[in-house]
Amino acid sequence: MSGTNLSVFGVFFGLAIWFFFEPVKEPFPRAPATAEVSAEDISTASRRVRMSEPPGIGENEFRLQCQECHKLFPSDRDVRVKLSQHENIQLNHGLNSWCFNCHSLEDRNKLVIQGDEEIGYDRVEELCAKCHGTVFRDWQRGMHGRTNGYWDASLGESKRLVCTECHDPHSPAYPTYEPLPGPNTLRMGTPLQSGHDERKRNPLMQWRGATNHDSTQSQHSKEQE
Amino acid sequence: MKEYFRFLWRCFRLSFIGDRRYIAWMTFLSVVALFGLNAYAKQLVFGLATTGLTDQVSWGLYIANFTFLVGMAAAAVMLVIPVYVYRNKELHDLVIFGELLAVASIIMCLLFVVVDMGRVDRMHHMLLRFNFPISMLTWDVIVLNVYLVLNLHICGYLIYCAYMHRKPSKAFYIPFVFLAILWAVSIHTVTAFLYVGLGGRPFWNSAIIAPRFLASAFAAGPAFLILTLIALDRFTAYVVQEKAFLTLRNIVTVAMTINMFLLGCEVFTEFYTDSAHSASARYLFLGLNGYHGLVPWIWSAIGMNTVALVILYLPLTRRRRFMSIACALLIVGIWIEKGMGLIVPAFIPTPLGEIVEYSPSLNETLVSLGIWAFGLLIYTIFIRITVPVLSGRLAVDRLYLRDAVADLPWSAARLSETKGNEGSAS
Amino acid sequence: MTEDTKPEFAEVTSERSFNRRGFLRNGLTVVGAMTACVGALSPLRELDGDDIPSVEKFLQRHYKEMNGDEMASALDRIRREVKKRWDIDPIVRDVRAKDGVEFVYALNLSRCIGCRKCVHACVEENNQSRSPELQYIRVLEMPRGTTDIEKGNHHYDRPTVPDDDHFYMPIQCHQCADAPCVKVCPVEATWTESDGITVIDYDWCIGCRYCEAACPYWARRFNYTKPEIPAADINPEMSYLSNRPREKGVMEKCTFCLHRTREGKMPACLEVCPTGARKFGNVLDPDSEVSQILKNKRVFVLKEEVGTLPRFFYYFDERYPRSEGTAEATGEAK
Repeated sequence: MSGTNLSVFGVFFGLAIWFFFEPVKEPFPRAPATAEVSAEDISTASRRVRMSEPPGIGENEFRLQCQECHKLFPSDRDVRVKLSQHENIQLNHGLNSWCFNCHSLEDRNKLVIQGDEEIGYDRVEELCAKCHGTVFRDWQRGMHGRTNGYWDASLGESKRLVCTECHDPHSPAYPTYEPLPGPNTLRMGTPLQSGHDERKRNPLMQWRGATNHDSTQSQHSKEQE
Repeated sequence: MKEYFRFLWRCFRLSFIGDRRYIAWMTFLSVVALFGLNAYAKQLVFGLATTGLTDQVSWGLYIANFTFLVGMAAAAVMLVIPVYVYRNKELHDLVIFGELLAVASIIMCLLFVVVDMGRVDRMHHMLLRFNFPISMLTWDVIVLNVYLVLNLHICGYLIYCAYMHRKPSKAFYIPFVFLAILWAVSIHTVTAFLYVGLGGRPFWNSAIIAPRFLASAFAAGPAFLILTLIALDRFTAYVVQEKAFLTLRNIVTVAMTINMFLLGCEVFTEFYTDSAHSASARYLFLGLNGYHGLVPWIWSAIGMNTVALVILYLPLTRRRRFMSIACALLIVGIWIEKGMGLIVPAFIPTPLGEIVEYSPSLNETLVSLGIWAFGLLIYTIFIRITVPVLSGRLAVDRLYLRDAVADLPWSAARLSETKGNEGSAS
Repeated sequence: MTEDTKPEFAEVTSERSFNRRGFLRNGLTVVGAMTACVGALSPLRELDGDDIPSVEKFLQRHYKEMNGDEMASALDRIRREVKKRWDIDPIVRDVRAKDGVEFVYALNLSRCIGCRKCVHACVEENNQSRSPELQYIRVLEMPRGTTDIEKGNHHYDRPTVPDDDHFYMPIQCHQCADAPCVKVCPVEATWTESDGITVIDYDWCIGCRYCEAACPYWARRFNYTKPEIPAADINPEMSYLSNRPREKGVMEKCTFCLHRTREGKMPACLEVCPTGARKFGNVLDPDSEVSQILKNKRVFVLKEEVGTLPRFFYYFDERYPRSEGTAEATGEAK
């Protein structure tokens, strides 16, 4: 009788010893911490600087503005892309491929709207509005473009960025970015993929250019592996 | 009052007494429960990260077991209804075991909910701000606790009366029995509504879940009782009438048939329409985008359920061995179907379409096994006390130390009735 | 118990002898079981001192019930905890909702390029756990021709974005007007404020994760373990309902940066958005940007069918895919 009791006691006591001396450590793998993101990566600065003055060359008192050269070298109104001086300007603005659609022929420090009405660089949005009327209206109402600062004007300043603070006027398409690291919220195993190829079943997606699409798809799936 | 405390003390003492098999069984359960406790202590230290749960699959094994056990608890009524509504004689004495099972199951349920909580130290917030009746979880808290109290009262009262040689006063338990019948349906319905009410989870958002829950519960619960009674019949002085087994078998068979039918309805709805909302069902039954962690489980569950159902329909189940095989298959099958097969897939894919699979971690499994062991431990103790009390060997004026493998059935009449199954019972 | 299998029914009439014999017999078992219990609980010795609630914290009342003094002492306690853990003196405040304000977010899917700056700015601003990683915003790369988010790719990893054949859909808390997460919370630890922001009292949450199951936008996150944040990354401007550090075992979620927005500023995700795809403001002001968008754009909400009335709207504004040639690439050549 006591033999049974002793063995039961032994089982419990052994268990207690085991529990007590078993090292206590995190019994789960921790995924590596969130990839470090530098302050620059998430800065709130606009992509381009706001230009209220035409760009110049040189510093301080030697700073020269456009017109100071251009009054010496009159331009041909028909000049389009091949430039001898401004080789760094890649004009990639769709149908709008004439310099003097935007720049004033007479005064290169000015932009031109409505035929020959000249405006300063600080009113650039009116120039863009010549073609992009719907976007301009959206922008006026704050439906297009960035608004930073305060949503409540009574508490602080609200800053609405103008066209050229995001878009390069010579090449306005928004540039591509390197994306910041994706989620790795899983503590166990590797992140799994969703986003399977539904094209076979979805007629909307079959309209897309097949060759282009396939190549990106296969490349994509390689990256996923 | 003094007599009542002596009764409790005797019950406590009695739970330590038994033959070697009993001691071995109890020690085994205690050891498993202790491992569970140890695993839970680790979970308290490191948080729920010790489980396999993620933000994507935020409920898993714990809630699955909880759901299954609510069903087991609710199934007690399947014994009560025949006895008190249809005046079935065979089951009369067995009702108490059903209700004790309900008590043990509810205790396990509550433990599973507690271990699933991130901040156990804030349990009292439930008392301070209770989001009733908006949150279904508060309903569940109420119905489960009331059901626990109801069953504790009924069992405790009947057993104590038997102990005191008193005739139970009907006014003290019959109203509660009928209330418990309604309540049993409500606990499982409310638990189903816990899931059904979530519009963001189309896999759950289906009216058929509640009936499915009830049907599977009324199959799994009585099946577990059959296993218990077979064990009782074999290891204790208690003799269970063959007719009782047959009645229970019929209940299991009918409930299981309905359950399979409802499952079929669900599967048809999900797959025939082929809408985007069937992604979870596709993941469960067929796999989705190359992920099929649950596919083997659900198909083995369906396989087990089918085999169990076929056996139950055959006359074979008059043999205890086949009956126990069928019941065991059915319990495991329903556990998978209702636990892992109903809780986990609703999270896969996530509402944002991400597929993250879930498998329970070791720690989580230990905690779950520990709770099961603890539940079985208290159920064994309940039975350990109930059997000698009902058979008259433990009473206010009588006390037997040893109630091991007993040879004396408590009434001669029963002995003659049950001669037929002695062969299989030994 | 006994070596012989023959049952032996010793009738004992004296309770005392029953007890004495029983004590001798089972005392060992009980002692053993008790020892094993203590042993099983021994991992608790590793429990962090911060995890054991102090009396003050244990008795702290629900956010809505705290009076000024109680709130002040709660804020002071948070200050002390931050100081102790990171050696930083934070500014912890309780920023309340203003009257006449209801916040709405609008997101221009034509403009989002999927750069994930918002995701990381949010992590920085809101003191989210770095390990394990916890983020409020998910950016989905969606194939063209569908808005079914189940087809989105969460883990896109291209050299550059945007990709020509995809559009990008950031998803965060939609601050629903009929929020299912609020409905299901058993202890009212989460609720919708008068300005439309659904908040959590991190000191009240019991961690049942019912809200996480209820959210159709997968916007809620749970602290499965103690969140780790390097001291250098702590944002010391904290508020009770938003970005103060969280503990393990509680839920958290996007609060539209209420410590910023309730004081008139824009949320962090909007501030860093390089393209202006994100728009935020007071919908009760008819001239606000978001009001204008709701009035003039074809907006839609995600999963409208779940009926949660989100305050987060999506819209498109271009007619041609941005990849087609260079002229339309800006999307402005309408």
